[in-house]
Order: sequence, then C-alpha cells, then structure tokens
Amino acid sequence: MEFSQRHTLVGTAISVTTMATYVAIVVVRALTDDLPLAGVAWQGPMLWCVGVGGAVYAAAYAVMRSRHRGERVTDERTDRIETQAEFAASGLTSLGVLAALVMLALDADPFWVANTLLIVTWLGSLVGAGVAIEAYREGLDR
Amino acid sequence: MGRPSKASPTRVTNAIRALRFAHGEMTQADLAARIGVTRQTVIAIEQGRYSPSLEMAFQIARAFQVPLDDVFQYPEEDPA
Repeated sequence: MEFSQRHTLVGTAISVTTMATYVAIVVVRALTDDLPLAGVAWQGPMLWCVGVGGAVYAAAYAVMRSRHRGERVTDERTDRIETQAEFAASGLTSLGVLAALVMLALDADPFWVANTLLIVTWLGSLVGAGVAIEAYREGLDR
Repeated sequence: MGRPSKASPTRVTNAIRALRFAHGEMTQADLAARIGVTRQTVIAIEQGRYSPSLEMAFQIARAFQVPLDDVFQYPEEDPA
C-alpha cells in the first residue's frame, strides 16, 4: 500500500475514534447527570478530542513518513487524487458552514452550532477520504 | 502490447510493460525514478488505472527512446 493511501486510512481511523470518543463522553455525561444534550459541558471534551486527535495524527504521519525517508511519495497522480478528495469534502463542509450561519441567525444554542460544524466537517473529511481511497484503489478518470 | 486491467477506466492502452522488458528488464521502480513519480503511479499507468498528463507521457516515451505512439495507443472509433 502506498504512503498516501496509508496515511489517509490511518487518518480516517484516528478521526473516527476521536469522534466516537467525543460523542460517547457527551452522551454519557447527559445520561449520568440527567441533562439535555445542550446542557452538557461539551467545550472541554470537544477541544481535547480535536487536539488529541490532531496530535496523534501528526505523530502517526511523522512515523509513516520517516519509513519512506528519501523516497518520492507524491506526484501528479497523488496530487490529482488529493484535489478530487478535497473537492468532494468541500461540498459537505460548505453546507455545514451555511447551516451554522442559519443557526446563528436563528439564535440557536451554541452547543448545536458547534456540534453541527464539527459533525458536518467531520463527515466531509470522511467523504474526502472515501473518494481518495477509492481513487487509490480503482484509479482516476472513470 | 500492454493491456488495461479488467476494471480499466480508460480506453488508452499502453506498452510500458513490454517496453520495460525490452529495455533490459527495467523495473517499475527504475522507470518511476527516471520520470520522477512514485512506483505506484507507474503501476497505475501500466494497469490502465491512470492516464498520465501529456508531459509525463512524453517523459515515459523519452525514457524508452521511442515515439509517443509506441508507448500509448488509443483505439479508432468504429464508423457508425
């Protein structure tokens, strides 16, 4: 498996684990404290999960890259795949930003605004990763 | 003559595999190093899973010192 495909898969696994951890923390807090979801102290878990997930990914990327030291790992094909993945992800992410703007205009609870942004951008990254992995496996230009 | 894989997304075929063997059994890694791409990209091109840019196509042809048409082929359209 090539470097770009591997780091996309590892990044996706870390992203899914991080999001699952965050959701589990918020839901457990809501259940144990008998609170509505919007009443849970979500800021700390969200920032910690995003920060720790990013740090773990950065460390994993550094380890994977060190195993390919001196090797070319990108070229026009990987650049095209990444561009295609970013394009796919940006559609969903844009919808998330729009949804957040509407929610802010309607004076929605910050919990829902922040979590809408988090979940939609996360889903966007999953879509992008899926497009990239499919392109690495099956090829471009279909 | 190289053949695209069963799941080939392109009608462009190529003879890279045959040309590699005709040039002293050049490895995919050797060819990749010569044209400045990853080995996986050479594999993808050989299997018809990626159509290279025109610039890369010329680089491949130059690596084998043959005209572009000897490396890549595109089937004629059937007359309607």
